Amino acid sequence: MTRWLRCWETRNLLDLFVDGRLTRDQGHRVEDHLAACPACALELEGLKPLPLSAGAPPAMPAGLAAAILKEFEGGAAPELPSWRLSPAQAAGLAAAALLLLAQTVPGPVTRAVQRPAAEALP
Amino acid sequence: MNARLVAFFDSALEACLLVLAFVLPLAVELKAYDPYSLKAALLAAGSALAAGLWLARALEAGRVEVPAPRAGLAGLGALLLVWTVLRGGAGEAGAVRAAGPALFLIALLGPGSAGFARSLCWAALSAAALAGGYAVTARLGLDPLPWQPTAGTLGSPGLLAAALLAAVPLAAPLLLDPEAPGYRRALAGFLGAVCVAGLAAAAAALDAAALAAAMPAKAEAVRAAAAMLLQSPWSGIGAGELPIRLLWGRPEAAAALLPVPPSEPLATAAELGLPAAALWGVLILGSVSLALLDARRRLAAGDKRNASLAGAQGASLILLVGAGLLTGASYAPAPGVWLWLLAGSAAALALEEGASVVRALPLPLPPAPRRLLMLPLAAAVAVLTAGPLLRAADQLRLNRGAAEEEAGEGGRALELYRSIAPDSLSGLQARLRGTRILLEGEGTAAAEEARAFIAQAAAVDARFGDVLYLRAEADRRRKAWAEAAKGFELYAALNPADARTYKPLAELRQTLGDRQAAVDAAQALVRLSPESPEAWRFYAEQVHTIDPDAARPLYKKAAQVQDLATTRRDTQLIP
Repeated sequence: MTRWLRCWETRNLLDLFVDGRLTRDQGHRVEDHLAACPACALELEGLKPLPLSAGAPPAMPAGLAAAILKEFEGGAAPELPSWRLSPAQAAGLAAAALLLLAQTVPGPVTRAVQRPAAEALP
Repeated sequence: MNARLVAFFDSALEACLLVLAFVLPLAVELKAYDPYSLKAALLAAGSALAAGLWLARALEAGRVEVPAPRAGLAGLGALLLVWTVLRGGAGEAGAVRAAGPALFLIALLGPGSAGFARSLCWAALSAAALAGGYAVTARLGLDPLPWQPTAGTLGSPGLLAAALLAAVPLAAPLLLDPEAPGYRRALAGFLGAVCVAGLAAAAAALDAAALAAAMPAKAEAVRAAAAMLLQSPWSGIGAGELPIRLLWGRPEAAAALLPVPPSEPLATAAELGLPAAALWGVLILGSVSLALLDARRRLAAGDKRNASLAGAQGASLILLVGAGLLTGASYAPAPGVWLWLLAGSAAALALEEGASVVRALPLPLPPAPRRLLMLPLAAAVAVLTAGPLLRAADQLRLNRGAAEEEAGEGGRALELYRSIAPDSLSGLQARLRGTRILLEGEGTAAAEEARAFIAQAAAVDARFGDVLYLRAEADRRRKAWAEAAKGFELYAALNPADARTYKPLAELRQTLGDRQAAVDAAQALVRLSPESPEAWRFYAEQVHTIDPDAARPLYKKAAQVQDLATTRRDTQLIP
């Protein structure tokens, strides 16, 4: 027998439920809870997709697609926020900073502690 | 739930994993040339930070999300992680061992995707190319930094070769990426070529004679690991314990960093037991199989771009597993982090289909208390991150002390050694070195001080290095004969092959009036050093105290051995 979901457990799953990303079992459990709990059902109402996005997409204004394509062909690329870094770029910068930082740690003048067994590796 | 904060945690987690993959092969404390401590500290700290970010994301989202197709593999990974933590993974040496399964799980449940796999390939390939490029410049005599040219940034040519070999396949999907601009593909090709050149430099730096000379030590390490496995085949000796135990009873432990065990699967079995080693095999080999099957499936479906990515990750994993099996290379932090991250990433990519459906474990709390829980989480992450970094600082202080010793500044070295807390590997090594300095001093006061200093190490791990030998020696200097004799006997029982013990033990037994025990100790010395005339003479002297007649042939034997040694020496002088 599956356990009854509590209110905050259900609410923490509502966005996944709305997007249809829960497994079937979990989806049923959320449905069961919503059927019996008006407060959580009300919470769900606020998360439901907008009618516009739920139905068929509205028709695109005439000539919009052609205008966008023309902009691209003219070489006017859309402006992207320049300050935003991708995770890979951020990782690269952080790695470089970390390596530099490691070298600022004051160390001895010469190496004195070795790792003899590592040198035995082929 | 704040979706922006969740997205921030996602990005930070991905960046953290990529930084680890890039930094570990290169991290080396430049002035001390310490290739291990910084890597181990960064791995332990970085994996704690990644785990913290993953948990923070779960707290903010109000649930733990497990993509449905990855749930089985994640369950096995969690099992290995929990077992590793229970078997000492929370300690100093174990943290590095627990980092592997933790990173595997995080990559599998967190950012694992085609985009992450591509970024991971870039991170590993760039780091390998930098390490390989440095090896090439060093080989050509153009070393721009005062590092050890033969060891490279990985610490040994063997580890460098293993890492470069594993990185070469990762260049293929980046080079063949049809959607990447030309300069990026050219860069990938260039980095791959640098890795190949670095591989040649690393192979050239491998000294065949030194390798052959190291084989008996490797065979001995295999025997020792197998003996530990037989000692506790189900639960193992504890995470991260094997390298430390390989240093037990070795006087050179005072100057050694942790050795790489001879084979990773053997090390895992010895440390965590056979069931955990089987789990290790299932996770790693399962990820390899999934990657190769995924590559074939994608190729059949015409998705060449991601097929090459899956195939490259699979090939790289095979090379890392092979190197780990034959040389233990994947036990070391840098190749190890690649092994686990690539395994997690390859498995995530192979199990991508249907991964948008998740098994969610909801937290029964509203947002405010969940955010409040982030405070203790942040504190725990701060402690777990700072701990390894502080330990690395201890290791650097130990290095500095050793440098002072080399410069003849024993007093300064001793001060540095005293400043390191005893309950760490660096602390134990500092006490071994410091006690040797103190034992060089004259008088009872120095001996008392040495006894007190080495007792701190004995309280933490009496079997480490020659802690017990030094404690007994300090007792002998302070004229505590009975305690010293007991100490030498204990050390001899644990390390019967260390010939240094038997002479002082025999002398102490004579002093205490136990002549037969003295003869026994001297006999053990002769058994260990049958070609030493001094050992025979000493044996004869001990026997003389009981039976002068029986001692006579032994004196003769000592003279014969002396003649033999002289003849051999003179014969070797003839060109």
